Amino acid sequence: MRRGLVFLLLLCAPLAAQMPKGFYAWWGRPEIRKDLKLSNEQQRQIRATVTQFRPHLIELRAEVNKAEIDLAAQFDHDPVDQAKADQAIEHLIAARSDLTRTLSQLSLRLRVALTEEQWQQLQRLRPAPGQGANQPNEYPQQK
Amino acid sequence: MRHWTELDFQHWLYGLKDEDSHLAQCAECRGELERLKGQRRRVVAEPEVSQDFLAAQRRSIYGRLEAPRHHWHTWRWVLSAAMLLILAVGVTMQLRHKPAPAISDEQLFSDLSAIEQSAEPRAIQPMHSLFEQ
Repeated sequence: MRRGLVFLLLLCAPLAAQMPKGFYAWWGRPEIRKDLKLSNEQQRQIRATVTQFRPHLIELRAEVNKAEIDLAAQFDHDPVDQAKADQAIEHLIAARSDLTRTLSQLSLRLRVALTEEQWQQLQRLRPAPGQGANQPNEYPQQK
Repeated sequence: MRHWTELDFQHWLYGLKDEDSHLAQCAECRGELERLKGQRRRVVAEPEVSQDFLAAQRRSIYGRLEAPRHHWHTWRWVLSAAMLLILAVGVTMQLRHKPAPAISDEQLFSDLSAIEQSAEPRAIQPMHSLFEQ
């Protein structure tokens, strides 16, 4: 049983490494498009995928922000209503989970549009921890 | 013998020139003058309208004046209400479909990344001070 859990964790580790942490709009940066040597068809496919996901992502961002505000309101409430606070926590977890799922699905769709080499190159350009999502490793901040 | 010119005929038509002795001698100018006289008579003549026609017209006007206006009043309010309703529905739909303010991919995904990278809700961040030091 324990061995199975360890195996499962090991299996999940690479997946977690590729989760959309440090996610940034790399497809909108000309230097990255050039570096990856994206074809016109790839660029069209990527743009179409992002355009398809955008409305839902905007909704999810609003949903998470609303859930954060609701939870903060429950924390500020005196006396604290345990049931409502629990409900707000569950709502926030659900919204964040939905966001993670959607971002992961988008990442996967974008990954499929890339070749293995392009994917590896994009990984190298991924922002370093603490560097911020707006600034990938090898390029300065865009103005 | 000098024939009447076009200007002479025009002056005669407007009463600025009298008939003179030339017309008695010249059949051509007299003929033209008679033609103009006939034309003027036709232009200024009252149109021939029968008494029956005028009577029927009067009856029609009185009939419309005496008809109850209640019918039109009702429809006027119904039409006004319908127009207001259409306007209200249009404005509501316009507001409902008002596009959200545009946000760049850069900003959107920066926000999403920040949410993803924050491990805990904002509401519990003040609790950190309890565990510091």
